[in-house]
Amino acid sequence: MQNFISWLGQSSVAQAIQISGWMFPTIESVHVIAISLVVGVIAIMDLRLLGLTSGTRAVTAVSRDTLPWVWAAFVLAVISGALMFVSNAETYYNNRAFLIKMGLMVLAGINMLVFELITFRSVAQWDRDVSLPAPAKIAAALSLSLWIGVVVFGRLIGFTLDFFSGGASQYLTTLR
Amino acid sequence: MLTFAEWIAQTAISQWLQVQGWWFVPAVQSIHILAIAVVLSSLLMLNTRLLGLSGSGLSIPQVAHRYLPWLWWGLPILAVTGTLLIVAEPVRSLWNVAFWIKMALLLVALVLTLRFQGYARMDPGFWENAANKTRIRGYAVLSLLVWLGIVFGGRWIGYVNA
Repeated sequence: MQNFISWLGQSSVAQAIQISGWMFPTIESVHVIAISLVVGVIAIMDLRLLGLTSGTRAVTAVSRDTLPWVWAAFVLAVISGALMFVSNAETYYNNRAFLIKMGLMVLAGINMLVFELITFRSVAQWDRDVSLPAPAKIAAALSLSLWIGVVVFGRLIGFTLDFFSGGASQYLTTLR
Repeated sequence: MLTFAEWIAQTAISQWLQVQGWWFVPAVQSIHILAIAVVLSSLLMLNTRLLGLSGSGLSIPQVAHRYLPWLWWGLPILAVTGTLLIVAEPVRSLWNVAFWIKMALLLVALVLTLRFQGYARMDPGFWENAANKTRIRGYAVLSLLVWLGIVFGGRWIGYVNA
């Protein structure tokens, strides 16, 4: 694994991003847009599941409106995120904030799978209810919390990387 | 502007943020990004409805009623957290062309959104009128592009040094 990571870090893609002044900030801007849309549009669905918004609209209708955008934005976030990772693979790989962020995303994925494969099967019985069964509400609360965590730890990566070490980073060494 | 930025940097609150408040900037930036998530997603749902790509079965005023309040609540949160970030790093943010491009684009975005809202309130028939179709779609694309430009500008503040 370590070999693969250092090979990535020395690949021609990594070198191109490192040498270029504009590529990293551009990729990062795309990543911010993509992750904002992933989190924000997922929140629209989560708030419906919690019974807080869109109460007059069926759960399946809100899901139809939001899911395609979530997936499109997620693909963009993965591509831009992967490029950022490759550009400094070893540093990210050894960064605790990055690893926590990845862990939170895995948990969010498991939460979504459980919801889709188990809870959502009985959607026909509660599609138009405002207050939904507990498993749906729990899945929504978990999803909101985990994605907020993804944003927080994502932002922390920038404060804990050696190549961006500013004044704050010395205090955040526990995450490095 | 540089003198003004340097004056802010000397104030007690800015000094505290730069020394003891090391956790403050990442915390406020996280809230700033979450507010951007709220604003961008509301605009995405609104503008994709205008383009006929989402919200089938809902009228445009209904979609506007659903998402515009989130936009208008998100913006003051962005303004407050954004101001705090300027106070924490005044010279880096104010003496910065990316910051001013971002502010100019924000002004354009606000004018566009207020105009849109005016139409949505005044005349429900405006949206049904086929003659307005091109205008509405053009507005939606322009609005999305300007907001994406604002995020780009914001992220580039961290990289531009003049």
